[in-house]
Amino acid sequence: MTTRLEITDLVVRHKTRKGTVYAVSGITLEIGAGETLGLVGESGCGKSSLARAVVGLNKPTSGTLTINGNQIDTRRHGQSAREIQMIFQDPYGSLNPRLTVWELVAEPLRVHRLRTRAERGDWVKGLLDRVGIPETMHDRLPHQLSGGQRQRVGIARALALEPKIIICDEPVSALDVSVQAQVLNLLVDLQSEQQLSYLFISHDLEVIRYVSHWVAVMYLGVIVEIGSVEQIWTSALHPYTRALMQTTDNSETLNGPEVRLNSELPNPLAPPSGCRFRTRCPLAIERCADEDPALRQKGADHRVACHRVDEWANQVSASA
Amino acid sequence: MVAQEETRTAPPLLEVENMSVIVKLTSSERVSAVDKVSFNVGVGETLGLVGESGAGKSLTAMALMRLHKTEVMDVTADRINLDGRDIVRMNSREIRSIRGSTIAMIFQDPLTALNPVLTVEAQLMESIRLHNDMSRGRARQRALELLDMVQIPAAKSRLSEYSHRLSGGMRQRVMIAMALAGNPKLILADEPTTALDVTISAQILDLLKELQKDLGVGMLFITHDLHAVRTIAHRVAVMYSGRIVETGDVSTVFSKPKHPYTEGLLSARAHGSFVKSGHRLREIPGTVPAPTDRPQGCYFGPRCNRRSAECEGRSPPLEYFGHTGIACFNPLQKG
Repeated sequence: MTTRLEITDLVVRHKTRKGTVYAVSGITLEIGAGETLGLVGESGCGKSSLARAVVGLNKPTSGTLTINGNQIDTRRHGQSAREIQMIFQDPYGSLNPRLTVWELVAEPLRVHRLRTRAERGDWVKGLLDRVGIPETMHDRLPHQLSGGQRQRVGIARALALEPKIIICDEPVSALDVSVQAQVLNLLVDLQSEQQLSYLFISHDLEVIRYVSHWVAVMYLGVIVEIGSVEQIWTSALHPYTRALMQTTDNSETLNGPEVRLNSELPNPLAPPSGCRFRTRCPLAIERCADEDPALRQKGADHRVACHRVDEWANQVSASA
Repeated sequence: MVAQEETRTAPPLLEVENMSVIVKLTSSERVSAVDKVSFNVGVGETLGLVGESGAGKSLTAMALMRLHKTEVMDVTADRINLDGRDIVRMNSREIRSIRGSTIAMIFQDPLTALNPVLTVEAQLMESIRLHNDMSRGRARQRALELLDMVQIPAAKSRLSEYSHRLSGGMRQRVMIAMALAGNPKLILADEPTTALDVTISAQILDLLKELQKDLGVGMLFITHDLHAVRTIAHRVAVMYSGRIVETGDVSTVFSKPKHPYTEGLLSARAHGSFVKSGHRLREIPGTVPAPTDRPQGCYFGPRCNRRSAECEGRSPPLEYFGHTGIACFNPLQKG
């Protein structure tokens, strides 16, 4: 498996009136060709800041991005657009309301001066066909489409430059369940046809489970656990991951004791010392306040950032 | 996590028969956004009203609270009995007297539902003193009790806070406390967990379930989230394009759906892992029609994989088979 996208030690800092927020504070991830990395976490944990920095909409404070082995300038202005594209949560907000469906999908080609006029026509038609937008809709404006159709146009537009990496930021969250299935099926089909790599962000754990090969759990700007989708679903080790998993329909497949959270995300302007999760963690001990836990290997391809993971791991396997 | 079932024999707390919400589009054009729905909620029971956007769920709640805009909407019904009184024929003064005291509402977005310039204390005290004859001191004490009931930590220090200073979960708890201020018999909860993160949503669902049981109130829980219904409701009514298409006990409807829409909705929901097993999700083709754009006959017809000639002719009525009601000519596993 070749690594297509490598994110190393990425830091994204937002300055606000009340102080500086480290929305992403030192994240390292990689995504292989044809694979999906699902990113989960509560709102305010920095998921979208990370996505926007990777695609070039935010300028990261530090860290490196490597695409297909080539390190790219993180302060770039659109140079990597042909390699990374993004699908947004709200296609209504991300599509120019004055452009027709056809123009929206052709625009990236025009901007990048790709293909001749005639070729563009065929290409755009092919893309719209592929995402299931019939020719009768090519002249419509975004407000004349349903939510599902708008998201299809957003997908066609993202594919126009033939990127290999697509950042999907909550692509189905705004859609009704019956339409979600249509869009999810389209995304997984496109992935296998074109060997696309997805960084897939969602707060919906069932959606993440359905599409992802790997799952990373983010909490207040850091990754607390990362592993294969199966490991995360059956033997999550971080107490935060376990609490998340227990909110799903299939919580019975999770081995080991239950974790219930009683409080809410602390102020990101002043994250807790040591382990950021300790203020909500039922297992927190003194050490957690002093020392920030690093991500440690727990079995093949499974890493967890928790001081007490060894005790916890025994309990999980004992009850398995 | 299916809610406990009990047998209930008492007359229902809320009985709705053939209620329609008619929206006036122009002076001559009218459309039934909610089209002759009938359901009831028993004492100490939670009915989950579930459906996609445009199903008419929120309009149903608005109509029950009589909060709909009367200039553009009419509510008609054969009967809406709440705690033995017919609210269809009540005037606005009578309605005001039951709002908050017999029937109370929890809204989706507490930030817009709460008053931004009043403290938690001022808003709670207002609700309490509106519905109970109490001195300020006693009302203040009651406000604290309510905040304790909704499990707000350090309740005393929260009284002087403004809503924008509270987190989403805390705000929703304050909303729930306000809804409880008039000791209502029926709570209408309109998507109370939709705007919240999963861990907070789980906390609020637990709280509502606990309160509903402890206080013995009836609850109409409106949501698009099938998981939430399964967690909290005893019975469920599935709405599609203004009509109830299936209703019954939560465990039955979820394990043996009979209406093709219910079945489609349950299998369209992302489940399992595509990466591991390669299964595609069942799609329901097309989208929910706008109320002005509904097909002839069964509204779900054009999207349905079991449609027959009969479905285009007329709309299937809601028929009961035991506890389960289905509006379909070709249901799954009939009987």
